[in-house]
Formats: sequence, structure tokens, C-alpha cells
Amino acid sequence: MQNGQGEEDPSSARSLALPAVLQSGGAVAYLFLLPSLVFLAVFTLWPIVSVIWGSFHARRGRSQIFVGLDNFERIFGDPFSQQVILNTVGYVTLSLLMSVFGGLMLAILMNQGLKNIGFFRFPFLATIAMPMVSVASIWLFMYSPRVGLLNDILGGLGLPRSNWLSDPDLALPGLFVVYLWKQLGYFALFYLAALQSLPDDVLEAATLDGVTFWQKLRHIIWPLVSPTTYFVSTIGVLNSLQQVDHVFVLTQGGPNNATSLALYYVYEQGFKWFKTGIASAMTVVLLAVLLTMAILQFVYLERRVHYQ
Amino acid sequence: MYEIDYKMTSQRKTWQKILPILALGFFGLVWMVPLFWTLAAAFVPTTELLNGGPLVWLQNLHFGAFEQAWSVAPFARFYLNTIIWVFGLLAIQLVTISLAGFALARLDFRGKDQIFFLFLTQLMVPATVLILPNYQTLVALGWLDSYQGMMAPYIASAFGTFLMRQAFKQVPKELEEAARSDGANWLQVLWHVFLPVTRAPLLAFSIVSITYHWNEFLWPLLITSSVEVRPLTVGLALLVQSSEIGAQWDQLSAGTLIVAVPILILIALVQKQFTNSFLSSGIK
Repeated sequence: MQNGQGEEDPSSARSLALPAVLQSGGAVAYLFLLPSLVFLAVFTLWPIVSVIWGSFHARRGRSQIFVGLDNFERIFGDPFSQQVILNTVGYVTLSLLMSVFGGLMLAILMNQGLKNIGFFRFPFLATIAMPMVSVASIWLFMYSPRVGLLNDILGGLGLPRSNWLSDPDLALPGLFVVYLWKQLGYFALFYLAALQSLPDDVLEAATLDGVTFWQKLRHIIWPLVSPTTYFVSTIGVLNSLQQVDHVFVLTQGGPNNATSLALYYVYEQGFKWFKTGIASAMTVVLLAVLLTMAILQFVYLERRVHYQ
Repeated sequence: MYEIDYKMTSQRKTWQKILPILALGFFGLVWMVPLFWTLAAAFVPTTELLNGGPLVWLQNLHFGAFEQAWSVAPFARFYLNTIIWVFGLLAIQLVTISLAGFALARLDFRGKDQIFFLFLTQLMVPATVLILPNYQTLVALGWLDSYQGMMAPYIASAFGTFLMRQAFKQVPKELEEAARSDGANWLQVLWHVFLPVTRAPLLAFSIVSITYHWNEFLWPLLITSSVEVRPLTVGLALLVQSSEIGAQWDQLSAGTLIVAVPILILIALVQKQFTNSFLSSGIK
């Protein structure tokens, strides 16, 4: 098998099994990759380059002029966009905590008892699969001050009613609840898979020794699912940065800018007010966050490969 | 399995089994409340919904809200548009990911690592973040307000390509060599040998792609402007915005259900497959 011919790249020695077709294989490979590469270049690589260029420019009439770091100074200096950043950081942090702790707790519940409890899981799967626009319309109804079920329930319990989405203090948490309702099951799925891959006797043994649930959670389950926790945190952040459909349907960033998130800000600046420079700069900030996360993940995976 | 089987422990064990199931059932019911409320709102006139209990509701069931919603917004057309863009995209993606995945898994060529990294970039930078520059590209291409414009950022799929690459790597070499020695070219090998044994990952990818794009909103909203192209999600959002002032909740609820029900049925039918597919999407 090991008779690599002439031009064979030594680094790919493992696939020497088809020496006779290597040359033609190369040409075929490029042909097969061509459609994907064209679209990757135009819709993934080029936009990254162009948005970085755009972030250092501003529109003056019909032309773009170079403005250095002005756009970034605007983003970090202007109270309006500062609040957007603050909203986003708060929202992402909350969803990080929710995806990890909420997801794990729901998964532990789902992992109990009967093997086939698809019926019990359906509610949480159904919301994952529904469009965020539908989910948001449902909650528009739930939150409605006049006919909303939420105020009905609160009123019934003797608690004060609120105008949820018009109250600057309640609107962002209100949006977060919508996101939580939709996505909690998604994160639970990953933990559920992790829990089911643990050997049964590990969990059983702990139950018999009379340790409390919290001890078991902290000292046995939590360390064992830590790779999943890392993974879930990553997709939790990615997910919450990308979902803005509910902002469109429920609040349009209001009241008083209280619910504007980074991606919604990109939309407003770029598509409503045509400030492409500012919108590009915010996109670059988002890209920087994503890149940092990718690097962290890479480092983490390397460490695991080397030291475990 | 274990020696300790006193009455106390076994009783405790029974409770330990039942309690979480009860908790999960209760939690699941609470989780469904918004959905039930929407369901009720779509079939019961809003005044009865507010004043009466479930008994009054049952006496006042009507389907008028669906007819109204269907006539206020051209949902039939939106349905057609969604189906064309979601399934058209899927068909193209299945071709691109199979070809690219095969090349990365089974063929040798220069620059493989660099190309691999290029795909990886797409996993790191989701298309949603790149709406602004991609919109500008569509303007330059003249693809605004078109199906191909909606599809373009997703035609190359790093997730799908990696999924297929992984699956193709597990196909035994002997199968490939047998076909090659019979004189089949690579395209025939891919079609006759590899694709028939990788239906599971193809299905998994399809489920993820359909759900994701059926539900997609922001990108179609930005680039479409005519009824002939707009998908369901955008149609619903416009209905919500137009009816918010008048607060015609029964119409709104009916519209919400019109958009969400097909996906809910799909999930109910393939719940297990759906779960596994979404777990594999976590490869990201």
C-alpha cells in the first residue's frame, strides 16, 4: 500500500491507498469543492473583509471617506450605543447562566425514571422548533396589558399588574423570558445526552450512600458534565447574540432604547438610518467577540487533547 | 442489583422515581400554557375569551379567525414562498455538502488544510452577523427580492460539509476500490456507493436545515419587498404589526398557528430523529 508516487505530499501519508488516481483525484477534488468555495468566498470571506473596511469609513453623500476610528469611538462613547452594549452584555450573561443551570436542571428531570418519556419532552422540543416570530407573537398576547394571560394570573394572585413591554425596567427581562421559553429545551438536550452517556452505577451508587441531591449535583454530576458545560456556554452565547426576531415583533428596541441588542442596533443603523459606518463598526465588534470565543474553544480543546 | 432492599429504601426509591416524573409533567404543562392560550384565542372570540371560562369557550368555538387571517394576509402565497425557498435551498445544499464533504474525506489534493480552515471560518462567523455586507453584495449582484438572494449565504454549509465528511470517512475503503476498479468515475462512486450508505446524516442535516430556514426571519425581512417572494415568518410579523393597534387577537393567534403548526407536526412525527439531528448540529 505504501507506494506513494513522486509528488505525493508527505503530510498526507495516511491516504496513500489510491496512488493510481491521485492526479485525477486532485482535479476532481477542486471541481467538487468549487460550488461551496465560490459561495464561501462571496458570502463569508468577502463580507468579513468588506465590513472591516466599512468600519473605518463613513458615508458622505455618495462616497465613502476614511474616518479612522471615529465609528468605534461613537459606539463606545455615545450613551445610546453604550446602553445597547450594556443591554447585550446583560442579556448574553443571563442567557449563559440560563443555558447552563436551567439546561442542566431540566436535563436531570428529563433523565429520571422511564426510558421513553417522549410525551414529557415534547413541550420543550416543540418550542425549539417553532419560529421565533411565532413565539414572539404568542408572548405579545401573553404580555398584553388588557387581554394578556400574565396580568390575569398576577391579578388573580393579588399581585400588581404591569404593562410589561412598555416598562423600561421590565421590557428586557420580558424579552429574555421569551428567549428562555423557546430555547431552554435546546440546551437541556445536550446535557441530557451527556447524562445518558454516564455509566448508570455512578449515579445509582451516589443515591444509595445517602448523599443529598445537591451534594450529588455538585460533586458528581457537575464535574462529569463539565465538557458539555463548556460547549453549552459557547453555543449559549452564540445563540443569544444572534436572536433578535423577538425584538422586532415585541418592542422594536423600545421603550427608551431599553431592549435594543447589538444585532438590532446593526439593523437600525444600517438599514433604517443608513449609517453603514456605524453599523459596520458594531458588526466588527461582534466579529471580535465571536473570534475570541473561537480561540478560547480551540485552546480548551487543545488542552483536553494534551492533558487528558 | 444492590443488596440493600429494606422496605424503607424501596419506598423511598419509588418516590424518588415518581417525584421527578411528576415534576417534569407539571413543568411541561406550565410550559405549554402560552401555546394553549394561543390555541384558545384562535378559536374563541376575544370577548368570550376574556369573560368566560373553558365551558363558555367550548360553546363559542368558531373558525372565522382563520378565514380572516387567511384573507387579510396572503398566507397561501407565503406558504408557497417558504416551501420554495426552504426546500429549494435544501436541494442545492445536499449537492454542495455531498460534493465538498466527499472531496475533504476521500480525495487528496494540495491546499486541503487551507480549504478546511475556510469552511471553519463559516462555523465561527454565522451568516446572521454578516447581514449588512451580504446585503450590499446582493445589491451589487441585483439579487434583492429574490429566492436566490435569500438562499445565497447558506448555499455553502460548513456544518453540512463537516457532517458529510465525517460520515464518508467511515465508509470502508473496499467498497470504494471495488467500484473504482469497475471503471466508475468519482461522481459515480459518490452516487452509487457513498450516498446510499449515508442516508442518516443526510436526513439529520435536512431536518436541521428545514427547521432553521422555515423559521428564519431577519434576513428574508431585509432583502424581500414583494408578496411573491416573502416567506411566512415575514408575513406573520407584518400581520402582527398591522393588527397590534386594532388588537385583533383571534386573527393574530390564528396567523401564529398557521405559521407554527406544520413544524409542530413535523416534530411530533419525528421527535427522536429531531432530537438526534439537533444534537449533531452541536458539532458547531
